[in-house]
Amino acid sequence: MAIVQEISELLQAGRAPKVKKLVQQALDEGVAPQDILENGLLNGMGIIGEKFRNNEVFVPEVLVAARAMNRGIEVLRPYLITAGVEDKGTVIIGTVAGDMHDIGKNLVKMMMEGKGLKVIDLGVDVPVDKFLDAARENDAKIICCSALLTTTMQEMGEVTKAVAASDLNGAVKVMVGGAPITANFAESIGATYTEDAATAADVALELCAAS
Amino acid sequence: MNIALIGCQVLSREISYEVVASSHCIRTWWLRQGLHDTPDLLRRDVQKTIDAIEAENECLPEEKRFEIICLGYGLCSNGVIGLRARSLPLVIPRCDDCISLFLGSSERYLALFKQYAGCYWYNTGWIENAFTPSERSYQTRLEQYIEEYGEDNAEYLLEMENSWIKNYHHCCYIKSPVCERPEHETYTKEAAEHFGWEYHCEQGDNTFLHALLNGPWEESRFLTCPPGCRVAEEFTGKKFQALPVEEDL
Repeated sequence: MAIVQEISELLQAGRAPKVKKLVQQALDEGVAPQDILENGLLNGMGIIGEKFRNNEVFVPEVLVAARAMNRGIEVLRPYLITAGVEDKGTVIIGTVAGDMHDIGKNLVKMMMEGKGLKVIDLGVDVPVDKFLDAARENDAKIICCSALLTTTMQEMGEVTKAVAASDLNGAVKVMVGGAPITANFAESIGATYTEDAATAADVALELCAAS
Repeated sequence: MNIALIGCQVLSREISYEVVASSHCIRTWWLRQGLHDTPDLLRRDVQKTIDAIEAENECLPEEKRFEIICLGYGLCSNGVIGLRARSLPLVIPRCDDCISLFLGSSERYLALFKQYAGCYWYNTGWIENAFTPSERSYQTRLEQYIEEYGEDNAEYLLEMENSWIKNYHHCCYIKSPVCERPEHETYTKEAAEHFGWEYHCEQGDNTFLHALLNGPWEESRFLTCPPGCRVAEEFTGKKFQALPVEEDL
């Protein structure tokens, strides 16, 4: 449908107010909310994510597109809940102790919310225990830890150790990400690694579905 | 001893001072500041320089040949991971980044990192070569974003990008041991005032850089990656290790 395609294109251009307007228009015209979400918003975000991986666009383009996506989702949300599309699982997210940088974390949060996950955001400089307490309180399946600095990434190992030594062992997975994080590092601490925000959201969805 | 040095431009004043004073014969290859933002490019450019030094070395008279390549880089967002030495050993200071090199040791940096939780570091090298947060630099960036992404998105982008500013509580000016630039100290104080950070000043220390350019390169402070090896990740606090390259590409 042309309007859904147009939503995808406007989202890619970061036109948040227009995306919001067009999502409402599509709903008024009787387009299925799921169609608008999958083929409009998530399709557009997927294309931007792909371009980002290929170095064709950079962080600002991804941020403005994610913002446009969220504006669209705000309009869609009541319809998606009515259709029973939401509630795909709960995720705890935050930057590790000592790390104050949250652009990446905020982007991952937006992408996960876009996929219908409930995200509990603990903010920055989050102590290990706070991650675990929040996971218990919210019956979360995943703890997502973010770090920008090589000086703070070791804290992620403290989180995986604490989860393994707790009642959450086996029930909660730890996902890690951020500029200095590599697959080898994640493996060394027993965490799941994804390279970018879009993949993190896909993997989180899979982990929640599998648990 | 003939030493080849690959240095980040941000360290140019401190390294140049040590080069002048060294008993060794040192030739420096400078790379632009900021490569740590794109670690793949850092790796590519440093490797290209290593390859060029090794190739040139083959053509030099024996007594003029380099014996070692020193890097004026730390882990630098993992940019040095994957570097390889073919004919000359590579020496890399074991530290996260240039803040340790400016402060004289990795231990001092990590202690200050804990003491000043959420701290932005300023010094002459960064102010001269890098983007440093200030009222003026953000005004310039806002103008660029308005042009590129429109007014509505520009404000949002700056708000997103600058979310860390409110999470930071300190900024620290490292006073260079080799040159005095009081205007840079003033610049840092103004930034502290503007962003609401507590201002600190630490005396810079060239000890680490001096050791890098003079040796001996003890294992605890430096990785020596021998020919035929590559720099690999290490997660125990030593920052990196040397592993044999299985096949020569």
